[in-house]
Amino acid sequence: MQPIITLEHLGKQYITKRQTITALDDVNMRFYPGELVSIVGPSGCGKSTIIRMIDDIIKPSSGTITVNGTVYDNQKPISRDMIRRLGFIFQIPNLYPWLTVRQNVTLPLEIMELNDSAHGEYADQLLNMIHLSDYANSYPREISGGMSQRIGVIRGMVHQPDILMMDEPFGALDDETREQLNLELLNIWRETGMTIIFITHNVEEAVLLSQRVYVMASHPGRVTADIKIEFDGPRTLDLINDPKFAAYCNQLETMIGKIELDQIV
Amino acid sequence: MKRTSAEMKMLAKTADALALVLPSVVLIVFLIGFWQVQCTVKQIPAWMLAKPSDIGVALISGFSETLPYLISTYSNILVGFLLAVVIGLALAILLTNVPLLAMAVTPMMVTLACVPMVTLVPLLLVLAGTGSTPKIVTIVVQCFAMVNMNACVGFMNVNPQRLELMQSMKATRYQQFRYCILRDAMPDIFTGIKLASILAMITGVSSEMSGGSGGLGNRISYLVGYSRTSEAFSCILYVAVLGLALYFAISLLEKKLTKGM
Amino acid sequence: MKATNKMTAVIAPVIAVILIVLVWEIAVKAAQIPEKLLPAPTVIFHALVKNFPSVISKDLVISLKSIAIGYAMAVPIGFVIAAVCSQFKLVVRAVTPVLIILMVTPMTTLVPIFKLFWGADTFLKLVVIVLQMAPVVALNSLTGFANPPKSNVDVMKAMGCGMWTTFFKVALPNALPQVFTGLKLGCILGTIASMVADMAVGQGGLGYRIMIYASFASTASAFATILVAAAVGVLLFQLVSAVERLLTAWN
Repeated sequence: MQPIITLEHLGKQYITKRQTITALDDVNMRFYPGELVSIVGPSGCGKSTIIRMIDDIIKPSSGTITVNGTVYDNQKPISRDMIRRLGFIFQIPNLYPWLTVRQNVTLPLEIMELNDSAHGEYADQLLNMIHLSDYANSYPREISGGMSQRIGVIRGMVHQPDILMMDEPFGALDDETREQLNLELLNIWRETGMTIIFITHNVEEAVLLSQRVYVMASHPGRVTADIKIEFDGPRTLDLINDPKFAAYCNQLETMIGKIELDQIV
Repeated sequence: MKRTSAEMKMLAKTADALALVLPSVVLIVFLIGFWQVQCTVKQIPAWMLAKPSDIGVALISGFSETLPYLISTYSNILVGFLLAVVIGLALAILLTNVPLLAMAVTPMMVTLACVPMVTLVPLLLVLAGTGSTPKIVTIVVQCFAMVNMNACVGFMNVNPQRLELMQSMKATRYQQFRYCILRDAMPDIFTGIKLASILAMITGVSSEMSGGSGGLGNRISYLVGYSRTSEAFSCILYVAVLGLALYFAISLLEKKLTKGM
Repeated sequence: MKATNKMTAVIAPVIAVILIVLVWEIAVKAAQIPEKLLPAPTVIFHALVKNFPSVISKDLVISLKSIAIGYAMAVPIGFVIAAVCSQFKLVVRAVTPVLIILMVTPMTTLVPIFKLFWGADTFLKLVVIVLQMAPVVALNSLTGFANPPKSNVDVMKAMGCGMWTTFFKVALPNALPQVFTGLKLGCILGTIASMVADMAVGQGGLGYRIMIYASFASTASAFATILVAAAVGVLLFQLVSAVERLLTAWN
């Protein structure tokens, strides 16, 4: 099977007056259609930068990104057609305070000129799915943080992308809400068959959700491992009791910790 | 008598509004009262300092006479002000999209905003006559830089995360502006507009005082010249009302446009 | 990349000004606009050089005097009113609308009446300038002082600090940006008021000189004096901005 996204020799340098900071060094990654892949690593390892490069918010200094056969790099930007197949979910939703909840959700449809009734219905379906239909006409200041975050998630999906990129979307939430949203995400993933790239620093979340985990290290940002996460049976919260779960978590934490330790030594 | 929850809400709202307004009303009434008493007790001659009661009479009885002057002044101010807002905003939008132009023009704007343009009036009076146009031009030149400066600041200070969302959707420059930048800049834009309204008032009224015809500014000089002091004071009050009306109209518009922020 | 940007930021406005002056000069000469109507920049410069030492400089000093004294009085008055009023919520609510009324009403309207009180005296100019500036300074400072960050205030209260200690340690530093907004706005309005007062009092000052030159249709000299008045306004504003940058360096 061909990968849907390939990152080859991706590099990113920030040049200031005093020094050159290598944020990413020779990153190579592959994402296959329908996968849910997590990227974990310490802060500053560049994981947020990588997905921003895939979404063409940041340009790489070197290397190429191939999405569905189309190659782009720091010279060639992504096309508007391609953008419709990508969805991006931010760490903090930053809903526009002057728009209602529903208007915030349909904002991508306006920008990408997909304002037909089919998409509008899908937006309502999504609102229903996260149980926030009653708040469609409320303003962001009237709803809680957890609700805002869920709205941020469906906003990233409202245009029915093939590929969803999520930048630590549940990091700022309490454990209970996070677990709930993890399950909702798994549901969405199973129903839509999207390819999801999930950034998190929470190892348990990565093990619960993903089929594969990329481990990264920082200074410079680089990939250090590509680990398959395999469980028999569906992913539910009961998985936490599975001994394999703890083993995977340990393995990942050791990898992240070990590399951090190596750097100090 | 039981009150419904809707009625209770109305009562609470009125009580809040009263609490907000009452202290200043009391203060103003007190100040007017103090003035009235001082004038009466100290027997200050009427040609010097008019009593509030006389001013009140002049306000009401002189209204129809003063109206044409009021309209003349206010129309100059409003036309000049609105033109300045349009030009200032249009220029700001241009400058945000052409950084080189912005670098060249911004220092000029800052400079223009603090030049007393009322100094142009005597010359314009001699060269262009006593019509409305020179006064309107002076007002426009005084105010547009203030609108522009504040609008530019607003456009520069967009919330970066909200802008990032736009970029993740590959929004065009126009879309970024329409859905994000313009809204984020509203508070600053309105600051500029409010300040411009104050400048428009002082420039508009003052430009009539150095010998131009028509207008409230001129009327005040004339009335004082004939020792009709209470009428002169009533004109000053009219000016105050005009200024307040403009300021509050802008504030109301601001509240409406920045709803939810 | 950043270095060239900084250079462009300095050079671009200079080039723009030079371009404007050039275009003005050429346009006036080419269209043969009469000097009485719109003089060329070179003609204005000549008038400036000719008249500044003997005439305009004296008026400059007179104007600067009233502006400086007026400013020096208006700022403390506005500041103290704001400081005192900000400590009592009820007073803030009472005073704010009154200050707004004073701010939106051009105080230059009082000039004819003041002339009646005091005749054509320099004192009149001072009163007008102070009346125009003080409410602006007071209102902006009041807005700044009246809303200090609650967490800092709570810390002060926990330490048992009094009203004025809290004011100087918390409210004042946090309000500085807003105070300076008032000072800068007051500066612009004060300069306008002083020019109008000059014209009304008729005893020297830049506004008066402009009026005299205009009445003789000495357009070039009038323009030259307007430039000097503009310079006063700009320099005053820049001075306040410089003080602001110094005092809010922590921002």
